[in-house]
Amino acid sequence: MTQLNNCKGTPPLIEAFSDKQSSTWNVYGVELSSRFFIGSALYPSPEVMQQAIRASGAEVITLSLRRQSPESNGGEYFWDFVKDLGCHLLPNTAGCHSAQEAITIAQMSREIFDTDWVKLEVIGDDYNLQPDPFALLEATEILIKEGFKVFPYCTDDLVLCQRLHDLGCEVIMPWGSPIGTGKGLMNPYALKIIRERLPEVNLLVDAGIGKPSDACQALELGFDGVLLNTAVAEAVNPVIMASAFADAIRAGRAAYESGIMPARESATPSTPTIGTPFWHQG
Amino acid sequence: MIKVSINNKAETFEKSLTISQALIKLGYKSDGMLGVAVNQVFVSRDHWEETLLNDLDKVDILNPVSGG
Repeated sequence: MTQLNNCKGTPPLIEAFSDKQSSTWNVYGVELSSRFFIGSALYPSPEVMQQAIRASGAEVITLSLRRQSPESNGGEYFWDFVKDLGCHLLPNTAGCHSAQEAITIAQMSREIFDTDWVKLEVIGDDYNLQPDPFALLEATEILIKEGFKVFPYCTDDLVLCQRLHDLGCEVIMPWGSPIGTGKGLMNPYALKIIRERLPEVNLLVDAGIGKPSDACQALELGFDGVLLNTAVAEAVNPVIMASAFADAIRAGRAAYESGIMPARESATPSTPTIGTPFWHQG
Repeated sequence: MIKVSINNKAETFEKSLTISQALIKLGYKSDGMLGVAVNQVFVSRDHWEETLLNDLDKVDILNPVSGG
Protein backbone atom coordinates (compact mmCIF):
# COMPACT_ATOMS: atom_id res chain seq x y z
CA MET A 1 0.00 0.00 0.00
CA THR A 2 1.53 3.42 -0.91
CA GLN A 3 2.29 5.69 2.09
CA LEU A 4 0.15 8.83 1.64
CA ASN A 5 2.13 10.87 4.13
CA ASN A 6 5.34 10.55 2.12
CA CYS A 7 3.78 12.29 -0.87
CA LYS A 8 5.11 15.70 -1.85
CA GLY A 9 2.28 18.20 -1.34
CA THR A 10 -1.25 17.17 -0.48
CA PRO A 11 -3.08 15.18 -3.19
CA PRO A 12 -6.29 17.00 -4.25
CA LEU A 13 -8.57 14.31 -2.83
CA ILE A 14 -7.25 14.86 0.68
CA GLU A 15 -7.67 18.60 0.40
CA ALA A 16 -11.39 18.03 -0.15
CA PHE A 17 -11.66 16.73 3.40
CA SER A 18 -9.45 19.24 5.18
CA ASP A 19 -10.95 20.96 8.21
CA LYS A 20 -12.11 23.99 6.37
CA GLN A 21 -13.91 22.18 3.62
CA SER A 22 -15.38 19.17 5.47
CA SER A 23 -19.06 18.89 4.63
CA THR A 24 -21.46 21.04 6.59
CA TRP A 25 -24.95 19.91 7.52
CA ASN A 26 -28.23 21.63 8.18
CA VAL A 27 -30.01 21.13 11.51
CA TYR A 28 -33.48 22.66 11.65
CA GLY A 29 -32.34 25.42 9.33
CA VAL A 30 -28.99 26.05 11.03
CA GLU A 31 -25.81 25.31 9.07
CA LEU A 32 -23.26 23.48 11.20
CA SER A 33 -19.77 22.32 10.35
CA SER A 34 -19.03 20.36 13.52
CA ARG A 35 -20.77 17.01 13.97
CA PHE A 36 -20.05 16.99 17.65
CA PHE A 37 -22.76 17.95 20.16
CA ILE A 38 -21.26 18.11 23.63
CA GLY A 39 -22.66 18.18 27.16
CA SER A 40 -21.79 20.69 29.87
CA ALA A 41 -22.05 18.42 32.91
CA LEU A 42 -19.64 16.45 35.12
CA TYR A 43 -16.49 18.48 34.41
CA PRO A 44 -14.03 19.01 37.27
CA SER A 45 -14.59 22.78 37.04
CA PRO A 46 -16.39 25.37 34.89
CA GLU A 47 -13.03 26.46 33.51
CA VAL A 48 -12.20 22.91 32.35
CA MET A 49 -15.70 22.63 30.90
CA GLN A 50 -15.14 25.78 28.86
CA GLN A 51 -11.71 24.69 27.65
CA ALA A 52 -12.94 21.21 26.72
CA ILE A 53 -15.94 22.57 24.81
CA ARG A 54 -13.65 24.94 22.91
CA ALA A 55 -11.24 22.08 22.17
CA SER A 56 -14.12 19.95 20.90
CA GLY A 57 -15.04 22.49 18.24
CA ALA A 58 -18.66 21.70 19.05
CA GLU A 59 -21.20 24.31 18.00
CA VAL A 60 -24.06 22.84 20.04
CA ILE A 61 -23.99 22.30 23.79
CA THR A 62 -26.58 20.70 26.02
CA LEU A 63 -27.64 22.06 29.38
CA SER A 64 -30.54 21.78 31.75
CA LEU A 65 -32.74 23.34 34.43
CA ARG A 66 -32.89 22.43 38.11
CA ARG A 67 -34.30 23.75 41.36
CA GLN A 68 -31.81 26.03 43.12
CA SER A 69 -31.99 28.08 46.28
CA PRO A 70 -32.27 31.86 45.88
CA GLU A 71 -28.81 32.30 47.45
CA SER A 72 -27.21 30.35 44.59
CA ASN A 73 -27.92 33.36 42.41
CA GLY A 74 -29.95 31.45 39.96
CA GLY A 75 -27.33 29.52 38.03
CA GLU A 76 -25.76 32.72 36.73
CA TYR A 77 -22.25 31.60 37.64
CA PHE A 78 -22.65 28.56 35.34
CA TRP A 79 -24.50 30.62 32.74
CA ASP A 80 -21.64 33.12 32.43
CA PHE A 81 -19.28 30.31 31.37
CA VAL A 82 -21.78 28.93 28.88
CA LYS A 83 -22.79 32.12 27.16
CA ASP A 84 -19.14 33.09 26.53
CA LEU A 85 -18.82 30.01 24.34
CA GLY A 86 -21.26 31.40 21.79
CA CYS A 87 -22.68 27.96 20.94
CA HIS A 88 -26.22 26.96 20.01
CA LEU A 89 -28.00 25.82 23.15
CA LEU A 90 -29.82 22.52 23.33
CA PRO A 91 -31.63 22.39 26.68
CA ASN A 92 -32.61 18.89 27.77
CA THR A 93 -35.52 17.50 29.73
CA ALA A 94 -33.36 15.09 31.69
CA GLY A 95 -34.96 13.64 34.80
CA CYS A 96 -38.51 13.80 33.42
CA HIS A 97 -40.61 10.67 33.75
CA SER A 98 -43.79 11.77 32.01
CA ALA A 99 -44.78 13.64 28.89
CA GLN A 100 -46.28 16.45 31.02
CA GLU A 101 -43.08 16.95 33.01
CA ALA A 102 -41.00 17.07 29.82
CA ILE A 103 -43.41 19.50 28.13
CA THR A 104 -43.33 21.85 31.13
CA ILE A 105 -39.51 21.81 31.31
CA ALA A 106 -39.32 22.41 27.55
CA GLN A 107 -41.61 25.44 27.86
CA MET A 108 -39.55 26.83 30.75
CA SER A 109 -36.32 26.26 28.81
CA ARG A 110 -37.65 28.05 25.76
CA GLU A 111 -38.34 31.14 27.83
CA ILE A 112 -35.09 31.06 29.81
CA PHE A 113 -32.69 30.14 26.99
CA ASP A 114 -34.65 31.82 24.19
CA THR A 115 -34.48 28.80 21.90
CA ASP A 116 -37.12 26.47 20.54
CA TRP A 117 -34.60 23.61 20.38
CA VAL A 118 -35.17 20.92 22.96
CA LYS A 119 -33.36 17.67 23.62
CA LEU A 120 -36.40 15.64 24.57
CA GLU A 121 -35.78 12.96 27.15
CA VAL A 122 -38.48 11.04 28.98
CA ILE A 123 -37.00 8.35 31.18
CA GLY A 124 -38.77 5.00 31.34
CA ASP A 125 -36.42 3.12 33.64
CA ASP A 126 -34.28 4.51 36.43
CA TYR A 127 -31.77 1.68 36.31
CA ASN A 128 -30.58 2.11 32.72
CA LEU A 129 -32.18 5.52 32.02
CA GLN A 130 -33.81 3.99 29.00
CA PRO A 131 -36.16 6.35 27.18
CA ASP A 132 -39.91 5.75 27.52
CA PRO A 133 -40.93 5.49 23.84
CA PHE A 134 -44.65 5.97 24.49
CA ALA A 135 -44.33 9.13 26.57
CA LEU A 136 -41.65 10.34 24.15
CA LEU A 137 -44.07 10.15 21.22
CA GLU A 138 -46.79 11.85 23.26
CA ALA A 139 -44.51 14.73 24.26
CA THR A 140 -43.03 15.02 20.75
CA GLU A 141 -46.44 15.44 19.16
CA ILE A 142 -47.47 18.21 21.57
CA LEU A 143 -44.14 20.05 21.48
CA ILE A 144 -43.92 20.04 17.69
CA LYS A 145 -47.45 21.50 17.55
CA GLU A 146 -46.21 24.23 19.92
CA GLY A 147 -43.42 25.09 17.50
CA PHE A 148 -40.51 23.33 19.21
CA LYS A 149 -37.64 21.81 17.25
CA VAL A 150 -37.43 18.43 18.90
CA PHE A 151 -34.22 16.38 19.23
CA PRO A 152 -35.59 13.15 20.73
CA TYR A 153 -33.26 10.89 22.72
CA CYS A 154 -34.66 7.46 21.91
CA THR A 155 -33.80 3.79 21.67
CA ASP A 156 -32.43 2.21 18.49
CA ASP A 157 -35.87 0.91 17.54
CA LEU A 158 -36.56 1.49 13.84
CA VAL A 159 -40.33 1.77 14.22
CA LEU A 160 -40.01 4.32 17.01
CA CYS A 161 -37.62 6.37 14.90
CA GLN A 162 -40.03 6.23 11.98
CA ARG A 163 -42.91 7.43 14.19
CA LEU A 164 -40.77 10.29 15.52
CA HIS A 165 -39.97 11.26 11.93
CA ASP A 166 -43.64 11.01 10.95
CA LEU A 167 -44.46 13.45 13.78
CA GLY A 168 -42.05 15.96 12.28
CA CYS A 169 -38.66 15.35 13.92
CA GLU A 170 -35.89 16.37 11.51
CA VAL A 171 -33.30 15.11 14.00
CA ILE A 172 -33.44 11.77 15.80
CA MET A 173 -30.95 10.59 18.44
CA PRO A 174 -30.95 6.87 19.16
CA TRP A 175 -28.73 5.70 22.00
CA GLY A 176 -25.56 3.73 21.49
CA SER A 177 -25.84 2.27 24.98
CA PRO A 178 -27.12 3.50 28.37
CA ILE A 179 -26.18 7.01 29.45
CA GLY A 180 -22.80 7.23 31.15
CA THR A 181 -21.86 3.59 30.63
CA GLY A 182 -19.22 4.19 27.96
CA LYS A 183 -20.19 0.86 26.40
CA GLY A 184 -20.16 2.35 22.91
CA LEU A 185 -22.47 1.10 20.16
CA MET A 186 -24.21 -1.96 21.52
CA ASN A 187 -26.15 -2.63 18.35
CA PRO A 188 -24.45 -1.26 15.21
CA TYR A 189 -26.79 -3.36 13.08
CA ALA A 190 -29.86 -1.53 14.42
CA LEU A 191 -28.22 1.85 13.89
CA LYS A 192 -27.22 0.91 10.35
CA ILE A 193 -30.80 -0.10 9.52
CA ILE A 194 -32.13 3.19 10.88
CA ARG A 195 -29.60 5.04 8.70
CA GLU A 196 -30.68 3.11 5.62
CA ARG A 197 -34.42 3.42 6.23
CA LEU A 198 -34.40 7.11 7.20
CA PRO A 199 -31.97 8.59 4.70
CA GLU A 200 -33.25 12.15 4.88
CA VAL A 201 -33.21 12.47 8.68
CA ASN A 202 -30.32 13.93 10.69
CA LEU A 203 -29.22 11.08 12.92
CA LEU A 204 -26.96 11.38 15.98
CA VAL A 205 -25.91 8.72 18.40
CA ASP A 206 -26.64 10.06 21.88
CA ALA A 207 -25.62 8.25 25.05
CA GLY A 208 -23.15 5.57 25.88
CA ILE A 209 -20.23 6.66 23.72
CA GLY A 210 -17.07 5.93 25.70
CA LYS A 211 -14.13 6.51 23.45
CA PRO A 212 -13.25 8.29 20.21
CA SER A 213 -13.38 5.05 18.19
CA ASP A 214 -17.03 4.64 19.20
CA ALA A 215 -17.77 8.10 17.78
CA CYS A 216 -15.77 7.32 14.64
CA GLN A 217 -17.76 4.11 14.21
CA ALA A 218 -21.05 6.02 14.45
CA LEU A 219 -19.95 8.45 11.73
CA GLU A 220 -18.61 5.61 9.59
CA LEU A 221 -22.09 4.03 9.81
CA GLY A 222 -23.38 7.17 8.20
CA PHE A 223 -24.72 8.93 11.26
CA ASP A 224 -24.59 12.69 10.93
CA GLY A 225 -23.17 13.37 14.36
CA VAL A 226 -22.75 12.27 17.95
CA LEU A 227 -23.81 13.74 21.26
CA LEU A 228 -21.71 12.89 24.32
CA ASN A 229 -20.74 14.27 27.69
CA THR A 230 -19.42 11.74 30.21
CA ALA A 231 -16.66 10.37 27.98
CA VAL A 232 -15.04 13.81 27.79
CA ALA A 233 -15.93 15.23 31.19
CA GLU A 234 -14.73 12.17 33.11
CA ALA A 235 -11.55 11.63 31.09
CA VAL A 236 -8.31 12.16 32.99
CA ASN A 237 -7.69 15.13 30.72
CA PRO A 238 -11.04 16.34 29.38
CA VAL A 239 -9.53 19.01 27.11
CA ILE A 240 -7.28 16.61 25.21
CA MET A 241 -10.03 14.00 25.13
CA ALA A 242 -12.37 16.58 23.59
CA SER A 243 -9.96 17.21 20.74
CA ALA A 244 -9.39 13.47 20.32
CA PHE A 245 -13.13 13.04 19.84
CA ALA A 246 -13.19 15.92 17.38
CA ASP A 247 -10.49 14.21 15.29
CA ALA A 248 -12.27 10.86 15.44
CA ILE A 249 -15.60 12.41 14.37
CA ARG A 250 -13.94 14.18 11.44
CA ALA A 251 -12.16 10.94 10.45
CA GLY A 252 -15.37 8.93 10.61
CA ARG A 253 -17.23 11.43 8.47
CA ALA A 254 -14.41 11.66 5.92
CA ALA A 255 -14.31 7.85 5.76
CA TYR A 256 -18.06 7.68 5.20
CA GLU A 257 -17.95 10.35 2.51
CA SER A 258 -15.06 8.63 0.76
CA GLY A 259 -16.94 5.34 0.49
CA ILE A 260 -15.86 2.52 2.80
CA MET A 261 -15.04 -0.79 1.12
CA PRO A 262 -17.56 -3.57 1.77
CA ALA A 263 -16.29 -6.33 4.07
CA ARG A 264 -15.94 -9.73 2.36
CA GLU A 265 -15.53 -13.27 3.51
CA SER A 266 -12.72 -14.48 1.29
CA ALA A 267 -9.29 -12.95 0.91
CA THR A 268 -8.32 -10.94 -2.17
CA PRO A 269 -4.66 -10.11 -2.81
CA SER A 270 -3.88 -6.43 -2.95
CA THR A 271 -0.59 -6.88 -4.82
CA PRO A 272 -1.13 -7.62 -8.56
CA THR A 273 -0.84 -11.37 -9.37
CA ILE A 274 0.00 -10.86 -13.05
CA GLY A 275 3.72 -11.34 -13.47
CA THR A 276 4.19 -13.28 -10.27
CA PRO A 277 7.75 -14.70 -10.58
CA PHE A 278 9.37 -18.16 -10.10
CA TRP A 279 6.83 -20.38 -11.77
CA HIS A 280 7.79 -21.99 -15.09
CA GLN A 281 5.70 -24.07 -17.50
CA GLY A 282 6.87 -27.80 -17.87
CA MET B 1 -53.03 32.38 55.27
CA ILE B 2 -51.93 30.06 52.48
CA LYS B 3 -49.50 27.15 52.55
CA VAL B 4 -47.61 26.35 49.38
CA SER B 5 -44.72 24.09 48.42
CA ILE B 6 -41.84 25.95 46.77
CA ASN B 7 -39.30 23.55 45.26
CA ASN B 8 -40.64 20.94 47.67
CA LYS B 9 -40.15 23.22 50.69
CA ALA B 10 -43.21 24.28 52.73
CA GLU B 11 -43.76 28.04 52.74
CA THR B 12 -46.53 30.01 54.46
CA PHE B 13 -47.82 33.41 53.33
CA GLU B 14 -50.36 35.61 55.15
CA LYS B 15 -52.61 35.70 52.14
CA SER B 16 -52.77 34.79 48.48
CA LEU B 17 -50.10 36.61 46.47
CA THR B 18 -48.81 36.82 42.93
CA ILE B 19 -45.83 34.89 41.63
CA SER B 20 -43.87 38.15 41.34
CA GLN B 21 -44.57 39.00 44.98
CA ALA B 22 -43.61 35.48 46.09
CA LEU B 23 -40.33 35.58 44.15
CA ILE B 24 -39.36 38.82 45.88
CA LYS B 25 -40.35 37.53 49.33
CA LEU B 26 -38.31 34.35 48.74
CA GLY B 27 -35.23 36.28 47.63
CA TYR B 28 -35.20 35.37 43.94
CA LYS B 29 -34.02 37.94 41.41
CA SER B 30 -37.12 38.04 39.22
CA ASP B 31 -35.11 39.51 36.33
CA GLY B 32 -32.65 36.59 36.58
CA MET B 33 -32.44 33.38 34.58
CA LEU B 34 -35.37 31.49 36.06
CA GLY B 35 -38.56 29.75 35.05
CA VAL B 36 -41.71 29.04 37.04
CA ALA B 37 -44.26 26.24 36.95
CA VAL B 38 -47.30 25.95 39.23
CA ASN B 39 -48.75 22.47 39.72
CA GLN B 40 -46.54 21.31 36.86
CA VAL B 41 -47.94 23.89 34.47
CA PHE B 42 -45.52 26.42 32.99
CA VAL B 43 -46.30 30.07 33.82
CA SER B 44 -44.67 32.49 31.44
CA ARG B 45 -42.82 35.50 32.85
CA ASP B 46 -45.42 37.77 31.24
CA HIS B 47 -48.05 36.35 33.62
CA TRP B 48 -46.15 36.47 36.93
CA GLU B 49 -47.67 39.82 37.81
CA GLU B 50 -51.27 38.59 37.57
CA THR B 51 -50.98 34.90 38.49
CA LEU B 52 -52.05 34.31 42.10
CA LEU B 53 -50.67 31.47 44.21
CA ASN B 54 -53.35 29.61 46.12
CA ASP B 55 -53.41 27.33 49.13
CA LEU B 56 -51.63 23.99 48.54
CA ASP B 57 -50.15 25.06 45.21
CA LYS B 58 -46.91 23.26 44.24
CA VAL B 59 -44.42 25.68 42.72
CA ASP B 60 -41.19 24.88 40.88
CA ILE B 61 -38.63 27.65 40.34
CA LEU B 62 -35.83 26.43 38.07
CA ASN B 63 -32.48 27.87 36.97
CA PRO B 64 -29.85 26.91 34.39
CA VAL B 65 -27.45 24.11 35.27
CA SER B 66 -25.08 21.93 33.30
CA GLY B 67 -26.57 18.98 31.44
CA GLY B 68 -25.67 16.12 29.14
